[in-house]
Amino acid sequence: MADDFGLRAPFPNLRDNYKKRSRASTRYNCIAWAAGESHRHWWPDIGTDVYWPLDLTLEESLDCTLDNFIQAFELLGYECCEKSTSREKGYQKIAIYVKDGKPSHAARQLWRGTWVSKIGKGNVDIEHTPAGLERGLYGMVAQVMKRPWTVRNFLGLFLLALKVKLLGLLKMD
Amino acid sequence: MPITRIPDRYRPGVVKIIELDDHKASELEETLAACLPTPGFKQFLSAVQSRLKNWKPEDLHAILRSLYSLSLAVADEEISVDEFVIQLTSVMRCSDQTDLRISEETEVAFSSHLKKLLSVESLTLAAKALGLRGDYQRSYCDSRILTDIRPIFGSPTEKPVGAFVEHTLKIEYHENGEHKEFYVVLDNGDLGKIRKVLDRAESKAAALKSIIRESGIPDFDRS
Amino acid sequence: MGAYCGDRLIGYREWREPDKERIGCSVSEKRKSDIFEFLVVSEAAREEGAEEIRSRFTLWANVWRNETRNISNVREVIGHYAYRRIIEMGPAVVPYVLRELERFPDLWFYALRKLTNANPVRQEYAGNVRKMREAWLTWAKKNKKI
Repeated sequence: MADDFGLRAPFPNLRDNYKKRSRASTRYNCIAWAAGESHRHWWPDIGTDVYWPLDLTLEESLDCTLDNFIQAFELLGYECCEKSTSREKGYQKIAIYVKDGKPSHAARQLWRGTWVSKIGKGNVDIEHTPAGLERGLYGMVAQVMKRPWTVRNFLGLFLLALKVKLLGLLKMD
Repeated sequence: MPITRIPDRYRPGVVKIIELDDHKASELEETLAACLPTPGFKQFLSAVQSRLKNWKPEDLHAILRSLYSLSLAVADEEISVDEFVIQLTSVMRCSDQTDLRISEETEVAFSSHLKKLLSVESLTLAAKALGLRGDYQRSYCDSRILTDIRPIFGSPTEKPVGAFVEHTLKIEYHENGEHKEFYVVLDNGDLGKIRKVLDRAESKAAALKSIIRESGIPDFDRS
Repeated sequence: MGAYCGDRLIGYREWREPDKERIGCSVSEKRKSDIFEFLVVSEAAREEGAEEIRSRFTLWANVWRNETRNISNVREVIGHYAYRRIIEMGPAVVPYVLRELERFPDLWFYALRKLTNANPVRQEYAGNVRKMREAWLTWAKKNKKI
C-alpha cells in the first residue's frame, strides 16, 4: 500500500495493517473521535481552541495527565479495566496512549472488536490494531477503559460514522 | 536560561546539519533510530559510522557530537524540542558567523531536520546517559602515579641519612567543560588504603550489576 | 589537552554562557510565563513587501501543517516552531493567516488572537473549528482585514 497519508514514518508498527475510513479532516481530533464526536477538537485545556467536558484550572491545563483523560471518559460512562484490547462481549472499549509520560492519543473499539482512530488534528481516520499505533509517535497503550454497549451508544456511533462518510462524499469535511 | 550562543567546538557539527538535504537527514534519522542506545559516545558513533559507510567519518563525528550536546541541553533545560529549535535558530539569525546566518528557506529545512534528529529516542537516551555520568561538578578523566625516593639529609654536604618512597598521584578531571588536574602525595600505606577502597567499590558494583541484569533493564555501564 | 578525552568532554552549558562578542543583534524576546505565553517583538519592525510576507508565511505554514497533522495535543500544535515563526512575523501576516483559514480550516485561532488581540469566538463553540472559523472570517470582513 502506498503511504499516501504519511503514516509509515510516525507509526513503524502499522505497515500495511490498516484501512482508511474517511478523508483527512481538521474538524475533529483523536480524542473527540474516541469520545464519539466529529464536530470539534477535544483536549484538556482552557480557552476556546479546544473543548473539554470538565472545568480545568490553568495549572491543570499545563500539566496534561492521564487522570484528566480518565475523568473525561468516566463522564461518558467508561470505567478503567485491565489493559486488554481484545473484544469483551457486551462491552465497548477505548484505549489511551501515552508517550514520555503524557497522553498522546485515544482509539475506540467497534462493535465487531476492531479498533478505529482519527490520526491527529488533520489526518485520516483508520481501522487498525491497537499495537499498530504503538512504538511510534503515540507511545504505548497506557489505559484501557470500557462501558457496556447500549442501543443508544450503538446507534449514536453508527450515525456518527454515517455522518463522517457523508460529509466526506460531499467534500464538506 | 535560554541558548545565547553557538559554542565554537560544536559549530562545525551545526554547519554540517545545516548542509543536510532531506534525503541525508532522513537517512541519518533512520540510522540513529536503528542503533541501540549504547553507553559512551564512541560506541554510538561507531555503530552509526558502520551503517553509514558512504558518509565521511569526520562529518558524522562532528554532527553526532553536536547532536549529543544539543540533546543534553534540551534535557537539562526541560523545554520542548520546538522551543529549543526556536532559541537556536534565533541565535543563528543574530550570529556574526556567515555560515550560521542562513536564509529562511534553509532555516525551515534545518529546523525540520533538527527537530526530527533531536526526537530520535536512541539518541536522547544515549545523551542522557552521558549527561548523567557527567552531571557532577567534577568528573574523572585519567590518573597517573609518579614514584620517587625522597632522601633525608643530616647535613647538606654528607650522604643521606635515610630515605623513603613517596608517590605522587596525579588526577585529571573535567569541570565545566575544562580539563584540569591536581596532585596528591601518598605513602605506601596510603596506596594500600586506596587499593582496599577500590576493591570494595568493585565488589559493590558487581552486586549492583547483577541486580540490573536480573531486572532486565539495559546496563548503560561502559566497562 | 582535552582532545584525547574524547566523548567525556561533551558538555552543554556553554550554549548558555553570555557571548561577549555578540553585537548588532536586533532580535529581542520577552516571555510571560514558563511554558507558553510569549510575546515576541522581533523582525516585525522591518518593512516587508506583501509578496515577501506571503512567501514567508507559505513556507512556514506548509511545514506546520505537514508536521502537526498527526498530533492532537493542541499545545504541541500551537507550540510548533513554524507556528511561532509565523506569529513572530507580526500583524502584517494576519491577512494571509485569514485567507489560509478561509481556504482550509485549521487551528489558526491562537495565532490570530496573539496577532490581533481579538477573540470573536464564543466559549460555547470551543473546539468547533467550523464555528470558530466562521466567527473569525466574520470579524475579518467587519474589520476589513480581508
